[in-house]
Amino acid sequence: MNWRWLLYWLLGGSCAVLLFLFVLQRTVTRPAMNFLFQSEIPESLARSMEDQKQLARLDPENSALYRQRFEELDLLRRNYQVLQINQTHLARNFETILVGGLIAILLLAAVLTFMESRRTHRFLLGLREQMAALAENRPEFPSLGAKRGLFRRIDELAREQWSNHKKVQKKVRDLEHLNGWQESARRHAHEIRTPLTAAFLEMESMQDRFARDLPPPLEEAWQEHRQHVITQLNRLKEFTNAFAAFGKLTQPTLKPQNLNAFLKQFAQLYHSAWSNLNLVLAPDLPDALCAFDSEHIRQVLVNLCQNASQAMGDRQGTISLSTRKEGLFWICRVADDGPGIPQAVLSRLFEPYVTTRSIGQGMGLGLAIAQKIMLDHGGDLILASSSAAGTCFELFFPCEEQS
Amino acid sequence: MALTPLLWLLCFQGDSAAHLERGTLSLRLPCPFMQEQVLLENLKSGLTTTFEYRVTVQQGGKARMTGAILEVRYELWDEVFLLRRLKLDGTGDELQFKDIAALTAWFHQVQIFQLSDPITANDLLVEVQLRIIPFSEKEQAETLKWVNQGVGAPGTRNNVSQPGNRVFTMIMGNSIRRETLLEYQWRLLSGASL
Repeated sequence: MNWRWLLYWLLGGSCAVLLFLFVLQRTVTRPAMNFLFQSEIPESLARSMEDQKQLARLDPENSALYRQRFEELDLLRRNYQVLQINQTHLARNFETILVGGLIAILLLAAVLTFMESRRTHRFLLGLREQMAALAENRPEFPSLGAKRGLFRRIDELAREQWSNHKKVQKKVRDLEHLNGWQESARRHAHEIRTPLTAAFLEMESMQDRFARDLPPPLEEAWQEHRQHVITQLNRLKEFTNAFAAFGKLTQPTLKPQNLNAFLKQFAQLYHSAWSNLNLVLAPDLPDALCAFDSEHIRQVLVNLCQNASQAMGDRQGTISLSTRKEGLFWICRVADDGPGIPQAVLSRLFEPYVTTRSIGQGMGLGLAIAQKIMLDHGGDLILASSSAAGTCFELFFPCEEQS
Repeated sequence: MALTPLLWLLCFQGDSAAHLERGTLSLRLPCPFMQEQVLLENLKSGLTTTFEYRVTVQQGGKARMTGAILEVRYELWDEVFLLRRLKLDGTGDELQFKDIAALTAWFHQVQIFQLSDPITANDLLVEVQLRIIPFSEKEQAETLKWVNQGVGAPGTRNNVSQPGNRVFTMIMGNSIRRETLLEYQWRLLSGASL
């Protein structure tokens, strides 16, 4: 319960109690006062005083004692009579106190309501500004300035929405960017594959037509050059296939399943896939229901492990897998204890054809494909951290309830 | 107890309360107030009935004022009325009356003002105000003390300094007032007869 509502309840309760006391005062206290100040009491006191006088006459030796008792009774009687005279004032003053308290509390409630109304109005204006910032996609998000309470929560939610909006925008940009690259790769693969096939055929034709009748020294030289050309053509074919694979990347078939169970299976299956990597899965992972294409996710994980293995070189390393839930996402953390990613490529890490390997050893498409797969899942792939102590990637999977 | 404020405009002409002899005016309290039942009851209650009177005389553009406080208490042990008179000049005296008739008679004859200057003009204005209070300041203080002692009585787990008791004693202190029981005002206008 909001503390303001609690305050209002307290004020309302106090009003009700005071009203009750006021009614009680009118209906009960006045009759009670009438009862208390009934005339029988002073009359009884007067009779007692008269008795003391009689006793003094009958017992003159103790006259002083009776006189003293008489004076005490007289004082009591006079005090009682003074109160009796002011009986109306007493009742009225008690009522005034109650009504005064009632009015004070009502005034306080009115003042608090007015202040709350002003505060609400101010926050609503702030909220409108926030909505405008969200709609206009401003780089800075204004704050409501609320320190606690409902508006603080609203502020947090709005900020969360703005943050999510920014993330979605980034994802859309990344996806568009990768789609562009994908289309480009597909076209290049198509354009290269035709002349490449022709080159292979021409090499075979030349082998059939010219190489048979060559003298041994020339035959040897021919075979050497032919093999060299075929090697280069095979390499070109390999790259073209990689282009084609990137270009033909299909949309995932999403199927709700337990991500942690999948990871457990992956860790068991690929336990010895990389000789220099020790694959460790965090223990006691709960069920994590997500919708994903297991083949695609396997491709992503293999790619990350492959990169880690290559980064390790000759030394032995560990790659650990764990998951956690954060908001609407299950996050899979893939962390290695390798040498980290060079600073120069960090900002363009997920762009196609960006690689840390030497020319001819990789196309730099792995992370781009992995990110494309995760984006196609409605999630994301980010580099959480990279240092000399290791590299950590995080894979975001939308929770099944939200997917 | 009902407060009976009475404003009497009384011309003393022909009334025994104002006596003119050789141009000298002497005033006494007219005594209809001694016939009031509420006053008679209060006088016999044992409380100290306080009579406050004030006489203002304006003559020839000059104003003079006099007055006194009369405290009357019925002594229940001795069954006599004790009257204590305090004048504005600080002097006072005490009298004793055996019954209400004697007290009333004293009120009839007591001279509350004497104008020794001969009255020569028709510009004399005398105003007499009498206020009767049912109990004295001393009795008021005693009752308040009694209330406070009752609130903080030992063995009652009560303490006067507790907030609730403070509020109670504050209300009681504010409620026990010496309200006027009866109030009279007479005015003497000099006229042709004077």
